[in-house]
Amino acid sequence: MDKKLVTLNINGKSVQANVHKKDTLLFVLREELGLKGAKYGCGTGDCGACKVIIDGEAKNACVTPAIRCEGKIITTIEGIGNTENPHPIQEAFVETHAVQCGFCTPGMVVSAKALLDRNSKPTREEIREALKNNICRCTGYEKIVDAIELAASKEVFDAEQM
Amino acid sequence: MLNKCENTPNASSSTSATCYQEQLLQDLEVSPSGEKLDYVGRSHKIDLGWQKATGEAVYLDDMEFHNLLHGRILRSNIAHGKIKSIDTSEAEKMPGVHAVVTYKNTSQVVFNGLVRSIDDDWPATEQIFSATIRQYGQPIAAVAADTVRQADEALKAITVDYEQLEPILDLEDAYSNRIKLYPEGNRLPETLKETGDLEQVFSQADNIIESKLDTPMIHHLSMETHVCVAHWDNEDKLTVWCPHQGVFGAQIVLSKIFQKPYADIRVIRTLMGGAFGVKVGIIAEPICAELSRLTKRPVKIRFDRKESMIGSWTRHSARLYLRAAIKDGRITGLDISEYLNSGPHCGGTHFIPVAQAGKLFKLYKFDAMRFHGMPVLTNTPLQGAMRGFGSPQLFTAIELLIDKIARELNEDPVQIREQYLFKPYDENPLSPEDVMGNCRSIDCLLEGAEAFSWQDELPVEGGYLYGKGVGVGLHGNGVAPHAPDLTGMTLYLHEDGSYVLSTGICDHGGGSYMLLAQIVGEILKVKPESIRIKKPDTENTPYDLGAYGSRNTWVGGNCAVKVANKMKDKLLQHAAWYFDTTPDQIEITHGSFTNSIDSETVSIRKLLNKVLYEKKERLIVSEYFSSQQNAGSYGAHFALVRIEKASGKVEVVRYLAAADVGKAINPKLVEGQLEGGIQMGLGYALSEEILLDEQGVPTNANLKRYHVFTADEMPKAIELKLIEKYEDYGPFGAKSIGEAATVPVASAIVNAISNALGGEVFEKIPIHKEEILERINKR
Repeated sequence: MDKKLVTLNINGKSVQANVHKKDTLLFVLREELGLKGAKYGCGTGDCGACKVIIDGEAKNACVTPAIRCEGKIITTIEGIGNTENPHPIQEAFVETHAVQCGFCTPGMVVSAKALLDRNSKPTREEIREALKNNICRCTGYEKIVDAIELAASKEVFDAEQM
Repeated sequence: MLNKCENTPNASSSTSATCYQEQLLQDLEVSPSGEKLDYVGRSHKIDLGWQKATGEAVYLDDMEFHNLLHGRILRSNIAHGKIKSIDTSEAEKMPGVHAVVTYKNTSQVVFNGLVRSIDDDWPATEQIFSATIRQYGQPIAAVAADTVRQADEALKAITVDYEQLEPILDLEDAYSNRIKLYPEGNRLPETLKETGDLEQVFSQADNIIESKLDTPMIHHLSMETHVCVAHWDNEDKLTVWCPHQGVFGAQIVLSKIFQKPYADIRVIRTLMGGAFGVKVGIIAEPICAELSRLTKRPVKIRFDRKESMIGSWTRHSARLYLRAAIKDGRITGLDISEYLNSGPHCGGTHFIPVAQAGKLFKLYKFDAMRFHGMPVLTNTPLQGAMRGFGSPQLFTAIELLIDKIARELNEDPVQIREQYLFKPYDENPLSPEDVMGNCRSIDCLLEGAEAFSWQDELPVEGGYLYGKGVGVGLHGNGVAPHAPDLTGMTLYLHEDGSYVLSTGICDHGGGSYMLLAQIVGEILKVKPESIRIKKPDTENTPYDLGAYGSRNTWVGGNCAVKVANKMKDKLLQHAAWYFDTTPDQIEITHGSFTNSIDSETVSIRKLLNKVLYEKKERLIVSEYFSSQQNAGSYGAHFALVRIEKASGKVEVVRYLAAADVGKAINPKLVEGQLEGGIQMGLGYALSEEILLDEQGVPTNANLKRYHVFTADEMPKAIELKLIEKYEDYGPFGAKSIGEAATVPVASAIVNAISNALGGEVFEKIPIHKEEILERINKR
């Protein structure tokens, strides 16, 4: 009826999903594709728990219509790293105690990844600015900023961009 | 500076011992008994850190359930009134709909969702659904359907006809009983506590200084919204999964609502995406259970953000009136009256003033003090436990008054506080049996002031005003003596030497499980990361009262010490049996036991297998711990603010928190609590408030309009100073920090703003830039 078969490029793979015109990308990721790393936090694009990278920019999947994502390159937290093979940003989050309840953490890591991909050596101010759409209620952000600074210091991003 | 070793209990006998302990504790790697510490005092990484950082951690909303239905709730759009009629017949016929519930087909048991024991006779007015509406957003009906979308469509087909009544929203108006929410009125049990001769002190005063403070409803905003799955199965057993702070309390309330034995109700705690007090009570669980009872299928209800904000509870808003008696330039008396908002039901609100009084009399020593707490029922959203349980309201009000007095007496804010703060082991004037313990508020104040360079001149910059402020406060450790402060743990030792710690304690996300593992690991010489934690489940873990009241470190930590020591004793006995010697000859090391007589060693694996097959015994030990003491966790916070004259915008440029933690079992976890507490306190001072219109309808229940501090708005420099002076009753000397972390924040910020504005007095928080600009323009 109101559904349409769309092809999405997620974490380097082409996947198909039967999408309702009102379905958000977050709904499709979680309920249709089983990618549960992005979280529902507000549904209004204000907390960042659902961040994914779309064409290089960190976006809130909870306010992004899935139907408009065809042809775009999407990276979710699952595409950044996993417990077997974590990304340096994820290592830095654990290393600096930037994780507490963990519910905002995937969104934070995604925002950090998008930032470091375009600016491999951000200042603390630039890190804070890049996180202004990600709410954390546990950590006061201090150790999250530390984590991203530490990840940047590992100089892996220069290599990735080359 | 305070002499560290004055004022110890039984000074003649224990002074030197206490001094010795303190000296030892200067070195973080040494226990009070002089043992080298392997794990306690070190920053082990949080439980499930890798899973959380990679998005692999499984929260309830991520779990798969076979045959799951989705529940959604219809909520009232008025704050006070009655349902004249409700029609669900169309909704019941909608595609995908399996059940519709209202007050007509559900349990009508009247309950209090916060009771801790079946015998608690707390004021009970809650029902799953009721025809009487007492707050905006009250559940009216709920639908279970195959999909969330179908459930939402069905809600739209339910028609409700209301009779609207005038809401009662102001606290003093509610106290007057002009409009009664209930036939018996709006007043909840009051608290009145007094020390000294207040009347005399005030009658002899040279001067009386008064103040007032209104504090807001703020929301916890755990990033995970409320979520619950209930399955009322075809054996008539109810299983509930939820990120709940107290599964045993939930079991008790559900048992009462559904008149079912505990054995037929199982509550399982799922990984918690933050709590801060908002996941203690019964919220979506009974509705979920009713939908499952009718369908015999598991039903999930996950709140959206607005529902979480208005359909759970907020921190209690309060109005405090204070007056201080001044005689010969000294503060001699303090008198506080507080109206406290409970919203439409009591919950645990009547305990807020009790808890406040328990802490108030442990901060400043005046000749006479009185506290009168008056909780009232209103038509606002429900109010309930939130990080600090009354302490942020109370100590913000007191600390603003202390600064007002300091200005009038022309005294320095740090020096005036130093004169009145309690010293370690002072007697509690309200109830001597409720010990003060090794309270280190003065250390926090003075060491914090020194580290902050309190005496330095304020910066001068064109277009800006600078101000500095200090705030002191405390929170408790557990709920003694007001409730049986009980927790149990079972420790399993497998024959290969691996441990499982089973606990009813819920880790909210702050790292309590690692802390417990560090304690057990320290005593048994086993790596904390290797200890598996079996998490709260009413069917499979020992009892715990609930993860609130800053109990996890204090009560949980002590229970972990107890159960680990019991296991250690057993192991030593078995090793002594193995070597045919006495337990005192055995040395326990990582993974093995050594007979000190001949240095013969046996591995834990070999010993335990021999014990299993020859003594026919497995190593499973259980212990319960009930805390009898409730020390204070003190803090002194310092803020430097910069106010833009043109806009009134406040920037906190520097912040320092000194915290009396006894002993940091895991320093990085302590820092995390403080930094998070500061974020929450900044919002309390400057931005957070759920606003209602004159009809009691919330106008900003979303994250666009309700503003919490984001990374770019935080102070650029946050400094933390941990005061580790060892608390006698704490596990390894430790005290709580989770709630204490946020108590002094708002007062430090507001006092700094007042300082910047030449002593302006504020009678309401949060303070918005518009109000500051108005004050600047008036000057």
